[in-house]
Amino acid sequence: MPRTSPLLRFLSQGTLPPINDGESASLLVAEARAAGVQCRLAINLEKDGKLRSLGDSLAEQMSGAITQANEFKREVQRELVHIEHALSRIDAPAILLKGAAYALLDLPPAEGRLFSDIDVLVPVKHIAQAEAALMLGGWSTGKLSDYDQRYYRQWAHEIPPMIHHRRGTTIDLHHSLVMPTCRLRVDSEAMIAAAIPSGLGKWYRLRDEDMVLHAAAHLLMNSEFHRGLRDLWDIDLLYRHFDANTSGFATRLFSRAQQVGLQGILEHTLVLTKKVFGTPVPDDILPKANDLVLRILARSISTRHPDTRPSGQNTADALLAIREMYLRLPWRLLLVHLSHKAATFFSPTEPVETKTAA
Amino acid sequence: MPRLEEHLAPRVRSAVVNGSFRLEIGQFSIKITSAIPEFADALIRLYAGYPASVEGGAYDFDIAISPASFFRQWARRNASFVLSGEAPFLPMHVNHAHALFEWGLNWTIGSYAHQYLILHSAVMEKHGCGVLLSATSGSGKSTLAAELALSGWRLLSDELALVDQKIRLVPCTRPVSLKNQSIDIVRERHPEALLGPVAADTHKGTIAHLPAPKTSISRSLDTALPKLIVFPKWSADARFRLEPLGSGQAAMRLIDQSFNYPILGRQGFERLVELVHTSEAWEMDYSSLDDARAALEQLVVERA
Repeated sequence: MPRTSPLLRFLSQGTLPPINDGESASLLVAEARAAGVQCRLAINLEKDGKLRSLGDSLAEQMSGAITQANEFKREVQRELVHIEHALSRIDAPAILLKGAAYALLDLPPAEGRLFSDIDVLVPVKHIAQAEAALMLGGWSTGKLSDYDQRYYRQWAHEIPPMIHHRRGTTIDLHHSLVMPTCRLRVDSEAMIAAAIPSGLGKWYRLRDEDMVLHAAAHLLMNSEFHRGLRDLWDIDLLYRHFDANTSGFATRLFSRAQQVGLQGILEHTLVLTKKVFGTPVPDDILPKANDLVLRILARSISTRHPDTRPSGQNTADALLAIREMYLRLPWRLLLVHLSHKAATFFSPTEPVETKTAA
Repeated sequence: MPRLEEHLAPRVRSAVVNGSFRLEIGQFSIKITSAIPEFADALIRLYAGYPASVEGGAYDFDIAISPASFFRQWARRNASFVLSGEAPFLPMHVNHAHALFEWGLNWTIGSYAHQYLILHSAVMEKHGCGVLLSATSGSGKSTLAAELALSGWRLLSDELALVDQKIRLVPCTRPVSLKNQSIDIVRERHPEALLGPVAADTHKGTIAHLPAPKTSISRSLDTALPKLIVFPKWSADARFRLEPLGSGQAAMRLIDQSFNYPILGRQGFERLVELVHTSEAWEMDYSSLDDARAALEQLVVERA
């Protein structure tokens, strides 16, 4: 029987466990660690002057997390200067996406967000030029099997990850916001065409609505649910920020979603953010969806700590992974992909990547 | 809080299974959960003298040593290191579970305890003089730490130097991890020392742990002031050499051996600079533990 989750309680109501309940405070931090939001939790508590109510020892650990987050932000800014310099050779707009875009624009989700890849998008006809420019700057795609090369080059919306030979930083270079093979008809090109100069160096950014839509599409169409709660929190923070700063944001967001074919994705996402974070989406605009997919998503995009996670989470993850594959690849490609993966799984000669304890 | 050995063993075992076991390692309170009996036994042996609770309560880190997945169990009895529900490493054989716990705990502290500047170094103290023994793996750092711990020095750590904001060394006193021939060396020189269970043929060789001395455990909340930074290097045919090292050199080498220096940014730099300014740095080549111990004792006596 799972315990009630102090993290979900904090996210929805802003309340912390009582001072005399050290065990629940510990569980809150452990859940945050499992969800990859320990730095963001720390920053939030610090802002509200509530860090000490976790007890001295956890407060110390959280203050370390704040140091880490602040330094990480500076490091991202430094890295963006390097990437911008490398890409200055190409004559196409380079759009920053996700974490790196939040950091560049200093949007609320940049606070305490740690990430490992910087996502850059250039229009598809400039992709070779951009890859060459980044290679001159010291980034290159590592060794990949022929199959993986083909997966990325022919089907995917990005080229294989490029890693800097000295600093070890990773760039994901995209040419589309979703897999071009995707079954949902998503008008990625319209969103790319509508990108605007960020006003910071040569970087471009997605428009406010498109930024939310891209985050939502990324969350629901990639089954990376171990960071799902963090990504959902990003969307809540983006929504609140844009909604507070521009009038009629909600209406524009929904009509844009309809234009680009992401209406269903947006509805599911906002029902979830509203449920977990109480995102102020007006009731008249958000349908009261409660379909099966949504119920499965709610189990996966939640706390993932073993003491508190919803029952059936593993099953939900597995179902969503199948759904992701289904959405990404049409039947013929799906069959080719799965049979290759199955062959790899049963083949003893394929080199297996191993990770061992330090 | 009572020590682990003061609790009844069956009570400890059931607390380890049901999640109400807490072990106090210096500043850190660790929730340790495991359904693997071999691991619980090793824990009881290696951490007998540590404050421990069997009634739940607050913790800094929640670690589980879990059996690997149901299907893998059929092939081989494996154990995974799990922090807050996530397993960052490949599973290992159950007989290596206690070694896996030590590595995993080092990794946990190195990844999440950024309130400290964390250096890969043994930390010892004598006559109020804190000494960092900083070296790459295979330089005999742990053997030297074990030798000193068994000769009356206070053991703060054999792996991790935790430097707090006030440039004090925070103890993280744990069993000393001995590898391969070090195990026999320590057994030969100190037949009275009781080592923990041997983990044979791990990816780092054969491992056995020397429990920390009781006197060190009882002082595991007292910080030490850093006075000396020594870079020891053991080799079988080395001629003894002890030479002072510039603080700049010392700083560069410590950065090389740090877990979280870049993560701390400016704070890391400032702490490191103050550390190398308040401590003298020395380089020591040796082949005999007697020579090394005598030299270190002389250094601390002169500075006491």
